[in-house]
Amino acid sequence: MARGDDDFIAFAQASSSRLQRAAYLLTGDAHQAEEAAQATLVRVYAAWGRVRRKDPYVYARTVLTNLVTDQWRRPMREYATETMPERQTPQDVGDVVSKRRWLIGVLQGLSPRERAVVVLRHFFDASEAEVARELDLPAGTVKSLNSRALAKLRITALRTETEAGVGL
Amino acid sequence: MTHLDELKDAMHSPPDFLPAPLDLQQVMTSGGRLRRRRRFAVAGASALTVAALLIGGSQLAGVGGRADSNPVAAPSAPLPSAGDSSKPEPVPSAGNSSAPGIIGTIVETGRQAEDRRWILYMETSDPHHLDRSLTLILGRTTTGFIDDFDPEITASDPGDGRLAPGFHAVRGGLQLAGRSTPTFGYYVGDAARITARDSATGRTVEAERAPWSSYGGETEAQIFWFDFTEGQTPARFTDISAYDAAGTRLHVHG
Repeated sequence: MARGDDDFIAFAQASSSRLQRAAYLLTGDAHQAEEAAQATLVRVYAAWGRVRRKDPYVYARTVLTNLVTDQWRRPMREYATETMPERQTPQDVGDVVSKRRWLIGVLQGLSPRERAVVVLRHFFDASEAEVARELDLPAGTVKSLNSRALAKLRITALRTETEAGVGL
Repeated sequence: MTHLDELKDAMHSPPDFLPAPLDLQQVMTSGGRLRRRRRFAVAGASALTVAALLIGGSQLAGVGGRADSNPVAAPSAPLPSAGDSSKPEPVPSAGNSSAPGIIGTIVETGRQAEDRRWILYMETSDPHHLDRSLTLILGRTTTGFIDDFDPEITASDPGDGRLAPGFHAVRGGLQLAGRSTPTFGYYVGDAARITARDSATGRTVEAERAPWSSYGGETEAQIFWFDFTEGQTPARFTDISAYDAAGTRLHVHG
């Protein structure tokens, strides 16, 4: 076993579920999520000597995002919908699972860019500047994509966080 | 309306999704190979820089040109084509040694992406226990040299039984980093046909198959894949099935 393998195994075991969830949010497909998380860890291991003393989780996040979102860097049309499905009926809204399912469904109906911004900002808690750098987008674009996505998700915290000085 | 924390909770516990245990041994095997290849590439680039300084740039004009315009060396072990699967070429591998790594037949799919040909091959981290270590790799190559194999998707069953009769390591087609990948896997048994149903059209499609063997035929399987086209969204398949020459359905589960 190579030097540092124990550290990598500990890192991989601690982060694989989270990486798979993020990949699932980005792809909407459990199988693709598993493959993307595995491919991400392969690349993290390949660079382990370089990244282990920095922040391997941030490196893994960047690799995963690049793997999944690489296709929308190429010229392509995004098929985002402006019309989101209606919310669940009132009796279902109280059901946490039902509401989570609705939110994930709406998330997966966002454009790839919107979805990537939401996942990076609110799943990984990356800063706006980090998201802009990792997605190679202007900060203003990240801000507007995030606002538009949260509006589609009918998030009410937008005003509150902005007033509190937390950029969205 | 929804609070941001509810979205965060939903993203951290998405219903209908359960993370799968990943094969960390395979991750480290593939990652180690990737690391070695990168080092080799860096060393090669450094050597080329030194050569350019020593020899002079004009004498290196051919470097970086089209590979087929001035070939330096032929692949040490030509890959069998998909259409020539009846005559698999043995390649340097762990098949004749106890070293971990690529083992047995290398299969070409006949497709390529960005000038690199899609190939399918097996790896093992423990040649003495293939039944629990055999892993199928979808990769790409330009030269056909093993050190040029670029793994894209690693597929394996968890635990033991990887050589039990039936299907193994089946993976669906993806759009991965902008490239289309096929649905592929391997089958242990005497299948004369492998088919699946295209979930979009309902049509039954037959897979391409290539024999795979190691240790001089001691261990055998069939690597299969469904035809795919670069740039197109891969088809979704269901009802994958294997049939013998008489048309009888064979084992489905590995």
